[in-house]
Amino acid sequence: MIVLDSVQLLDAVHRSLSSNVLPMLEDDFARVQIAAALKILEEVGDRLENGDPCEDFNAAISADVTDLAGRVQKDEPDFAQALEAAVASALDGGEPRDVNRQLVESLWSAATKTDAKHRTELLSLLNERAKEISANDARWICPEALLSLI
Amino acid sequence: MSEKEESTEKRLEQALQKGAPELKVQRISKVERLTGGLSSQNFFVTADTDDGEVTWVMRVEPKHGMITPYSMEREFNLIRAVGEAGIPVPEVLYLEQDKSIMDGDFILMSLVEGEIYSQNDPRLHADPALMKSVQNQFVEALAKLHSISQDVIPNYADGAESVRAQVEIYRTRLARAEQIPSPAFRHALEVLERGAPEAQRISLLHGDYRSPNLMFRDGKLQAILDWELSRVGDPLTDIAFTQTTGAGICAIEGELAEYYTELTGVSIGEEEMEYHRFLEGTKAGIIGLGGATAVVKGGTDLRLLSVTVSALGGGQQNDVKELESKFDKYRGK
Repeated sequence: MIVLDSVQLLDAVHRSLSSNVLPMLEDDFARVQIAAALKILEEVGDRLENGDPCEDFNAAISADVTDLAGRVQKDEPDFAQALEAAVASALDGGEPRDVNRQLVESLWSAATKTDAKHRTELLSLLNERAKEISANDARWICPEALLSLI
Repeated sequence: MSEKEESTEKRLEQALQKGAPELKVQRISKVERLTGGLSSQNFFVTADTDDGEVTWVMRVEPKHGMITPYSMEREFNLIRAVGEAGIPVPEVLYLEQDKSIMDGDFILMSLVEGEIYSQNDPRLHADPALMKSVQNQFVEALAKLHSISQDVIPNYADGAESVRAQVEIYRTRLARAEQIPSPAFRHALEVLERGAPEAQRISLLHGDYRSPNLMFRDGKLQAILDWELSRVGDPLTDIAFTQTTGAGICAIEGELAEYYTELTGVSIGEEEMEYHRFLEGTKAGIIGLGGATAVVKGGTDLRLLSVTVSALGGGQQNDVKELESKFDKYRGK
């Protein structure tokens, strides 16, 4: 539909489901499915406006790792080289999730196949960035969904 | 009632009339899906029988669940066996392995009526005597479960299964559940594998032991529910579960831990418990990750995406440096 953009279309579906469908449902299971679906629509709308959060993660982790490689270059050149290679291989482009998979797998491999002194630093760095992403993702949790499962 | 619901009820009616004539089903009048339960799909089934109207509980193997692989046959045999060993459980009535009826294997069980207490139930906080009674029964039932012979479960599990084997099971689950790589969980499993303590006893475990899985009536325990995570292993894993995922009024620690030790002879050392709490937290997170995978593979329960987001948040909370130093002593084990 040319007259509306994707965000407007999603907003319309969201409003219709929340105004016209959800209040009419008596079945608890059906209600909570709609509640969960509304939350997902909000997330998709956010992605359309602000991009895939995976891109931010990839950029942040690449910058962190490049910085770490620079700091350990003198001390552990082999480890630094493995880090730089991991980042370089992921910079070839592709979908954010493919890049993420390649980047994190390469870094995980670098962290686990070595006794490098800075191995723990790399793992911490990966973990801290993952924490940030998770904290941001928490807004897409549907509380009704979790409560209904207990 | 929709055409699809009519069809489900008719199929179920015919299956029970043929496969379980002892239930004396004349007609299935209602099949109602329940919201609770992370994995198996649970339903109330209302039937007109020769003895009048009866309501049963039906657990159906999910086509795309979070805790794969499923075996309703295993669950059926397990519940029957622990019931025969004196553990209060619903009566299992029927196992159906023709997947065409409910789109998966299912078991039919008696409906146990009563109260379920949430992990921090205000009714228990308001009634200290009831709280004490529920806590004690919670511990006593687990102590009894941990004390029965694991041999009551025919062909159920390998008695030699160790803590390390449990880590391996979750490594396999993580590999299946990862939509994007999760280094925090991978690293947690590495540390857990390195630090696995020896089990002081191998027992039958419940695996999901928390107050919402126990049914009480007039203050007395009627049944322990949800056995799908049951297995054989170190009893401290069940204790740790009550302190982590199952935390709340019935966490087995302090006086309740002493009571458990008095009943079972199993000592609850803080060093081992630190390990088992970490293991249980990691297991819960990995199970949660499976929610997104279940949806991607064709599942329709959208709630599972929220479970995954929540699990990822929890799984990322470990401090890597602290973990590394905590378990450094196990390095090279």
